[in-house]
Amino acid sequence: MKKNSENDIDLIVSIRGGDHTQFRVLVDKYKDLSFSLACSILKNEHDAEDALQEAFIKVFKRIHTFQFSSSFSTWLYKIVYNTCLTKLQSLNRNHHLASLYNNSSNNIIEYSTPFHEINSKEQKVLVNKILELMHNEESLLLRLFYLAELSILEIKDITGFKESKIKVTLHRARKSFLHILQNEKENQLI
Amino acid sequence: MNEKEFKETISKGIKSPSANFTDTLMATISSTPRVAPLANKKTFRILVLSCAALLVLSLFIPLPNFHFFQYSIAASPVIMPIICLSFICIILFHLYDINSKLQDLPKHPMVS
Repeated sequence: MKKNSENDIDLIVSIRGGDHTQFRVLVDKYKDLSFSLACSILKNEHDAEDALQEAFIKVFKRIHTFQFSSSFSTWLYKIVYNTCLTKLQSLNRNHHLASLYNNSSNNIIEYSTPFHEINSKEQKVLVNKILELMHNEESLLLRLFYLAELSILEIKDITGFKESKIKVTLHRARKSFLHILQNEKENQLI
Repeated sequence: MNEKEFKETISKGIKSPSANFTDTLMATISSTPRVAPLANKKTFRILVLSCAALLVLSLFIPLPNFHFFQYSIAASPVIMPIICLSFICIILFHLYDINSKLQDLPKHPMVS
């Protein structure tokens, strides 16, 4: 992790020094995780990709203002998070998200074998489907905590949520994820 | 499901944007970086000209005395030219900085 940060610092110094091709390396390194986070918030891959483009352009324009006090990933995810929220507001998707969340338990995930027995590609589809069905805050926090491996304090810095809220939402998100997975297992038995 | 298994499961939930995402982004970025410095350069040039005009004026027109209650404060005639010269130096330094950054930028640095 520390070595990763050092690599990021080297890349940022190169970009600041005028070697802008290094920005491609940074984009390639963080695009998947950032895209997953954007999908958690926007629940639509096309919108998520648009938001991510905007976010990376902001990062490029503001890279000279980056203070090395925090890690680059935290700074980037904060920009991605804020850009997605702005995009969400402009799309006025809140109503749609709420309806998605309310209907999540009614959705049937069509898999006929236990989770650990299906192949990794199907597992990936299933996990993404479950995360998509979850509330955007819950799936976002799960991805930040488990996928990006950020601490509670770093998540607090990115989202602006209180520590207690993050812990409670993470706990609820774990339960929610397992509940939907359990539903899927029960569906197989019927 | 324990914490480790849960983490492994969630780690399968990573998504990737479209294959040409990076190329599109780099192409977009490559057309923007020169705009801001050029705009700044124009602003700084106007500032330098304004300060130079103020410097010339300050050589001929002295600052009036300030009246503060029963006191009268007279400014030295060299104060304004010194301030103007300082401003010109700062602005020229920024202009030099922008010029050197513009020289560093290749025409299309992002697209490989």
